[in-house]
Amino acid sequence: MASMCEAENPSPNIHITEEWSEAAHSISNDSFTSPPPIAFICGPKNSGKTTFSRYLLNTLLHSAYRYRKAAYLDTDVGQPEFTTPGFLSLTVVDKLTPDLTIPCLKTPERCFFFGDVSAKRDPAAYLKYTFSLYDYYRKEYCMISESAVKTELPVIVNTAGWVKGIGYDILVDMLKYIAPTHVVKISISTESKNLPAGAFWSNGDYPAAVNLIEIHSACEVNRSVPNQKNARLLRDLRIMAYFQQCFPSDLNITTIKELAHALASHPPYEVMLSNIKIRHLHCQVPSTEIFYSLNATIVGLAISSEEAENLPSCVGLGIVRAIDTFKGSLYVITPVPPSMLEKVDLLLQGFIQIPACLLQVRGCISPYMSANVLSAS
Amino acid sequence: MGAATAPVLRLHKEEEEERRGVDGSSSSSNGYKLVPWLSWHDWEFVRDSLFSSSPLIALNRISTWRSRGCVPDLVDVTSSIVEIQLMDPHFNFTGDHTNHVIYSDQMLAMLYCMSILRLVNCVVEKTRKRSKFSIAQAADAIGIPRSLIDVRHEGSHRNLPALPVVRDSSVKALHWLKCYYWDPQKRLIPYQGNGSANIRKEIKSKFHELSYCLKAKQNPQPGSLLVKGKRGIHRKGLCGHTKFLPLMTGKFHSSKLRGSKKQITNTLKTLIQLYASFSSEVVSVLLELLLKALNSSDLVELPKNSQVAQNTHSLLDDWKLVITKFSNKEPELFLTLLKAIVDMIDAEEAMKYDLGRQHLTTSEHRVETGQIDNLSSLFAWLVGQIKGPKPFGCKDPAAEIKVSAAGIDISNAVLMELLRQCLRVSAFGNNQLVNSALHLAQLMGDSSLMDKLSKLFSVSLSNSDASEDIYSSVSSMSLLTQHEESICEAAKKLEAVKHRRQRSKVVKTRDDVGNSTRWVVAKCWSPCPIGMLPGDLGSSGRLPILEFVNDGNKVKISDNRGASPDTQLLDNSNVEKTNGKREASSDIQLLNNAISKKMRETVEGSESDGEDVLLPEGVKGRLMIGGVWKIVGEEELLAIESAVRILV
Repeated sequence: MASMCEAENPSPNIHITEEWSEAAHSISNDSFTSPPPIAFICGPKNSGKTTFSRYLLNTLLHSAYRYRKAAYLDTDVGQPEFTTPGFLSLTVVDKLTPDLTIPCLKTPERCFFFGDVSAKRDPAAYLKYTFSLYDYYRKEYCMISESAVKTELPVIVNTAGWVKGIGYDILVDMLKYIAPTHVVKISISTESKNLPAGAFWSNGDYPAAVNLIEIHSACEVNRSVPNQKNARLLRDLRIMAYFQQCFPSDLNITTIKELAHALASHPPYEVMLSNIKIRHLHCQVPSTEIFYSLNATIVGLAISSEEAENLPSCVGLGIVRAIDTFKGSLYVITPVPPSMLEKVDLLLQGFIQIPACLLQVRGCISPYMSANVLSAS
Repeated sequence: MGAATAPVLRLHKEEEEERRGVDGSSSSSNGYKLVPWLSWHDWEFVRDSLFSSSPLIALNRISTWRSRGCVPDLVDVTSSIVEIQLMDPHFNFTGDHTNHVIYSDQMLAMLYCMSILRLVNCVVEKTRKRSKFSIAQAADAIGIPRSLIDVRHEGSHRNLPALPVVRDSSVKALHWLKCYYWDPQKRLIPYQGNGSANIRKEIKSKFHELSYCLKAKQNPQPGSLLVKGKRGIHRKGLCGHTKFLPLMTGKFHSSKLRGSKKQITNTLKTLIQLYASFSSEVVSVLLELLLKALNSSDLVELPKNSQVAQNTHSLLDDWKLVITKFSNKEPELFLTLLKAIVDMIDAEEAMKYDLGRQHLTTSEHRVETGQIDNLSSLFAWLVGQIKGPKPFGCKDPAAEIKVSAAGIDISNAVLMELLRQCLRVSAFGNNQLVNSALHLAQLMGDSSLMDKLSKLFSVSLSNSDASEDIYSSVSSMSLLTQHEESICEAAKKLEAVKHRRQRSKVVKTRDDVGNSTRWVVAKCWSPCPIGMLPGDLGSSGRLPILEFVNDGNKVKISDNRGASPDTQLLDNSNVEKTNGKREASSDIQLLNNAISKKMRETVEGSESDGEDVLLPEGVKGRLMIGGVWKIVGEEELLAIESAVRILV
C-alpha cells in the first residue's frame, strides 16, 4: 500500500497523510463487492476538500482498482476543480491528474452556470442545479441496466466550505438527497469551525448503508483562512486561463498583458440580438437598460431547453466585448468551439466579474476602467 | 451527449500565471478602477437625475449598474433612499408611479430604517480601523449626522423608530451622501465643465514643452546657449516660431527645465493621459501646430529657392521628434493624425465644390487650394515618416504586441484603411495623396495592389487633366467630345455596377439557403478596448450606443405592456420574481425582432460582393453623385442609365 501511495503522489509539495490514504483506499476497496461508491466530501474552508477529492480520484483511477473512469460532481462554485468559478458541473475523468497542485480545465459532461461565487445569493437555485446534476449521474452512470452497456461509475461530490448557517442547511439538504455511500468529513484544528460530529444530517435514524469517515486536515501549517483578495486573485487567474484557450498554444502568450492585448485584438463571434435571449440570474434589469447591463461583462453561454422545467445547460463562458445596437449585433469572445456554440441561444448574466487586468491594455483601456474615482475611505 | 468526451484543454501551468504577478484586485496601481458606468457623462447624468424631482430614470440606471456587480456602496445606498422616498406620499412626487405609493407607516419606517442601517454599516465599516473606535466615533470622523447612528442603533437593538424620525433621517442621509460622495466625485472628474478650451490650452502647452525639451536634449550645448542660438536662427525669418519661443524660454529656462530625460518622460506621460481622454482634441491641436509650422514657412516662400524648402523641412523636423516620441508610446496617434488630415482635406474639397458653384474669385480659390496643398504635403511627409529610421509604433516591438502574426495583420489592416481614406480624397486628383497612397501600398508589400493603384491613378490623372482643360475652356468642340467620352465611360461603368449588383444578388440568395449559422466570426475587426466598438482607424474604438433603438415597433410594445420606461422599475418590483424575468426576456425578443427587421432592410439596401478591396466600407453599392456617395437602387440605376443613353 505504501509504495503505491508514493507512486501516485508525484507532487512533492503535497503531503498525503496515512489517514488520508487509508480513507481513500477504503473507499476504493469497498467497491469490489458493492456498487460503485458515491463519496461525499465536506468540511470547512481550507480543510483540503479539493486536494482530498483529487487524491481520491487518482486512487479510484489507479490500476489497482477496476475503474477506468470516474465521475466528479463539483458544487464548489467559488473554486471549482475543472471549470471557471460560477459553475456547478459533472465531469467524467479518465486520466490521472499528474500533479495534485494544479487545477486544470476540463470540459464537463454537463454543467450549469450559477453565476456567482457563493451559493448564498440563491440557495434554492443552487440546490436545484446540484440535484439535477446528480439525477443526470444516476440516469447515465448509476442505473443497473439489463443490457449492461453502460458501465457504472463511482462519483466524488466535492462541496463548498460554507458549513455554518444557510451553508449548513444546504449541505444537509444535499446529503439527504444524494444519500452517499461514503461521507468524508474533514475537520480542522479550530473546533468551532468544524461540522458537528457524527452523521449530523440524519435525524437520529442512522442509515446503515453510509460509511462516515472522519479525517483531519492534512496540512495546517500557518494556513489561515484565505483573505478575500487572494481568493479573488485565484478566480481571476482561472478566468484568464479559460480565455487563454481562445488562442492556439503556439502563440505563446505568457503574460497577462499579452493576453489582455490578444483579447482586445481577437476577432469576436458576432451574433444577432434577435437570435438570442438574455437573462440575468440574480438581478432585475429594466428591459430598456439591458445593454447597459450586458456590455463588457462575462456571460454563461447556455442552451435553453424546450421544456420549461428543464434547466438551461451551459457550454462555457463568453465576454460580451461589444454591442452594436444599430446593427443589432452582439460581439462575444469565447473559446467554445463553433459546433457547440451554434446551439447557444441564451446568455446568462451573473456576478462573475471580468478580471480588471483584462480591461486595461495600454492604448486600449476599456471605458469601464476609470481614473479619478473617489476612493471609498 | 455521449460519454466522457472531455478533451483535456490546453492550459499553461498555474505557476506560470502566478509568475505573471498580477494584482487581482479591481483597482490597480495606476489608479484605474472598474466602474459600472460607461463614461463620466453617464455618471453625471445619473447624479443630476437622482437629485431632481424625477429620479426614476436614475434609479433604473443604478439598478442596471448593480447588475454589473461593481457599483460603489454609496451609489447603491443613495439609490435605495431615493427609491423609498418616491414611495412615500409625504414627499409628494408626481408622475406615473403614484400607484406604487406605500401608505403603511410601519412598512415605510422599516424601509427607511433598513436603508439607513445599511448606509451606516457600509460607510463606517469601510472607514473604521478595526474595533478600536466605536461606531459613533468613526461616524463622527466622517461627519455622518448623529441622528443616523441613533436610528441604526435603535433599529438594530431596540424598537423600530417612528416614521417621522426615519423620514427626517433619510433627508439628512441624502444630504450627507451628496456632500460626502456625489459632490466630491463630481469635482474629481477631470476638465469638468470648462468646455474644451482649457483642455486645448493644456494640450498645446504640453506639446510645446515636449518639443522644447526634446530640442534641448538633442543639442549638447547648455540651455542658455541653446536658446540664444535657436532664437537667432528663428529671427532670420521664421515668424511662426518666434511667437512662442521667447515665451517658452522665459518660462522654462527659469524653472531649469533643460530637456532632462525625466522632464521629457513626464511631459510625454501627461500627453498620453490627455490623449486617453481627449484624443480628438490632442490630434486637432497637434495638427494645428503642424500646419502653423508649415504655414509660417509658406509666408517666406515668396522668393522661391531651395533654402526655403530646407527651412520647411527643418521646421517640420522639430515636430518630427515630438511625433515619433509620442507615437512610440501611443502608436495610434500617428494614424488618427493621418486620418484627421484626410478628413480635413475632404472637408476643404467639399467646401471648394460648394463654393465653386458660386463662382468664387481666383484669389479665394488660391487660398483654398493652398490649404489643401499644405495638408497634402503634411500627409505625404507623415507617410514618409513611416518608412523613416525610427518607424512608428506598429513596427516598434515595444509598442506592438509580441503576438507576431497578429501584429503584422493589424498594421497592414490599418495601412489598408489609411489607403482607402487616402484614395477617397485623392479622387479629386491630388498628386501628393496619390504618391502617398502608392507609398502606403509599398509599405504593405502588396505588389498586386500597387499595380492596381498605378493603373487607377493613370486613369484618374488623365481625368483630372481633362477637367483642367475644361476649366481653361480650349474650344467648345473639344469640350463636347470630352463630354461625350466621359458620358460613354459613365455608361460603361454603370453597366458594370449593375452587372455586379445582379451577380451579388445571386450570391446572396445562394447564401441564404445554406446559411443558418447563428454565431459567425466577425469579418473585419480591428483591435479596440473591450466594451467598445472598433473605430475607423487605430485602436481607440468608439463608445457604443446602448440605448434601445427607438422605432415604431418599440413604442407599440411598451404600449401593450402599459408601462413606459419610467415606470419599469417599480413595475418589476411588483411582479413576482420569476415572472418578471420571463416577461423581460420576451420583451427583448420582440424588440430584437424589430431591430433585425430594420437590419435586413438596410442590408438589402447596400449589399455588394465585397470584391472591391479598395472601396471604403461605406461606399459599396453606392455611386458618387454630386461629390457625395449615395446609395443607389436598381431603379435608380436604370433611370440614370436611360438618362445617359439620351445624352449619348
